[in-house]
Amino acid sequence: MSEQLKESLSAVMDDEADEFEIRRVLNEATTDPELRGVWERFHLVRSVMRAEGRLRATGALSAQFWSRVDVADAAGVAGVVESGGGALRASRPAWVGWGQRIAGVAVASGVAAAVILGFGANDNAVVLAPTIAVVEPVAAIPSPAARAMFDDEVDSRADVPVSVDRQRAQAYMLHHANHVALTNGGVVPFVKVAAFESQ
Amino acid sequence: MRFARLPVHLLSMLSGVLLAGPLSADVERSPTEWLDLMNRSFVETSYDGTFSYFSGDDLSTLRVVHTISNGVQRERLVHLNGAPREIVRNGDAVECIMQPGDEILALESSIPSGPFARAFSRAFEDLSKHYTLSLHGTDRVADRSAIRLAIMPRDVQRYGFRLWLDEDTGLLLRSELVDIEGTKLEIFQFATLEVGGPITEQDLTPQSGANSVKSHMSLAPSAPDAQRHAVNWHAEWLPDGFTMASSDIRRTPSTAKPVATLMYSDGLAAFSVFIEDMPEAGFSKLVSRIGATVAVSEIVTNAPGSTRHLVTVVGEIPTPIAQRIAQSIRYISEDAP
Repeated sequence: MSEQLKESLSAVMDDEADEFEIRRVLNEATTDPELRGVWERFHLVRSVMRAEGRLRATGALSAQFWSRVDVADAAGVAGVVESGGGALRASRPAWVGWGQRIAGVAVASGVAAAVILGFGANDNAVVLAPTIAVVEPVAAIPSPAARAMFDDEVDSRADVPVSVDRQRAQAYMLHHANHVALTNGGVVPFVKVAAFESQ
Repeated sequence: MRFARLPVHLLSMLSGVLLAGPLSADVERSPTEWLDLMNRSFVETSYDGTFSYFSGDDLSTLRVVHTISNGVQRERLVHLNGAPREIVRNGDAVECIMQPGDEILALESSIPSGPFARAFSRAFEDLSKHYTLSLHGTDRVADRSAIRLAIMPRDVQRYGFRLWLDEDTGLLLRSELVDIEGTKLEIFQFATLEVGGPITEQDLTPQSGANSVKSHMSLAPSAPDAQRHAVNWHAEWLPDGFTMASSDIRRTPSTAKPVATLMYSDGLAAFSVFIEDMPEAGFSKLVSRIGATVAVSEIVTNAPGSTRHLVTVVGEIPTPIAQRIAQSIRYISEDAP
């Protein structure tokens, strides 16, 4: 896995990749298991970060999540800082920072309870450990103008690779809710359908 | 309502005759009887109310109107926030009215029965094997007196419910889906509810605009063999008490590729398993959660020709359980006994 590819993947995850870079990462991922592995982990971290969040068919996920990720402090401390949905992107993160951040994802108080899921490729014992994460926001507060104030204002431009997964998950969740409501019935399943539909 | 019953109390006390009918809220009911009453009321009662549903970080608010005439259930659901969307049900016929470009059009076209039509329509006696049912006094929801009923799991393999049932009718006024530590994952609650009032034709008529898109569906159960399509997949590990409710081959909404679908239930909780050929793009060990619903993806490789398949488990179950199920999905060869 070349440094250039890592940079590209980093850019994709960071909502800074252009169309060419996205295509290149997608192409490479079909043949490069290492890249796939890394990418999967990024997905996982992101999913975990959004553990209590909702899916959205528009796939604004990438932009939204990574816009909340501060590029951490210069001291290299593993940390992810909730910036209130702000589009805070000081610079493209250094590649080496990824591993550390994945190892020690910390969530600001905006996310009440996050879980860290640790599993290896062949790991049957899944570890589900609630984390208590308190992070002092060390970065500069983004200017109000830079923030997306509402979910649908988040730029989803660079979200192509992610939305496939998210849409699949959403479609299956809707299907499941439909099925449950049809066979099992019940208030909660039905309302869930309504909720998934509206996302 | 309490005042309305007062004379009955007086009468029974004065005459020394205990009046106890099946629909009298003064009867001591068991938790199971309360659930049965809730089920009947969902179908047999006329009501008009507004409820909210909180799941994940999203809050939906809907109006529901329900009535039954000549044995035919009629129902209308109106989304009060966001894009205008209504669901109208007349017996088994369902009509969904929405705006052009609404996301759901691209998704599955089936819509479930109304929210209160078949609530918890299971044999509640069986629940006690995996859940503890208990009553916990009274409370007030939507300005109505409610009894509190807890359905708590006996193990860590499923979630629990806290229910607030209308003391008069048994209708569900509030529910909380809680994990083993008591954290609320989903909350459903009526803000207003009128029971037994007149429901007019206008209350049941959708407010469709000129550009509205309508889609029609049927709730009539399909043929049994369609529900049990032979599926060459099974779960080698299941949480206690979950049995297969159905299996089927379906098509993905986007690409129309075949997807093997298995559904399991323990009588209250349910999860679905979807198995598809490994997609060319967008593959990951996904872990997504919306409120209590988790979606977990794993890759299985034991199908003929070492082809890779993507397994997705979706359900209202704890994440580690969903992951363990997903990891246990195996292909069964045709000639296996």
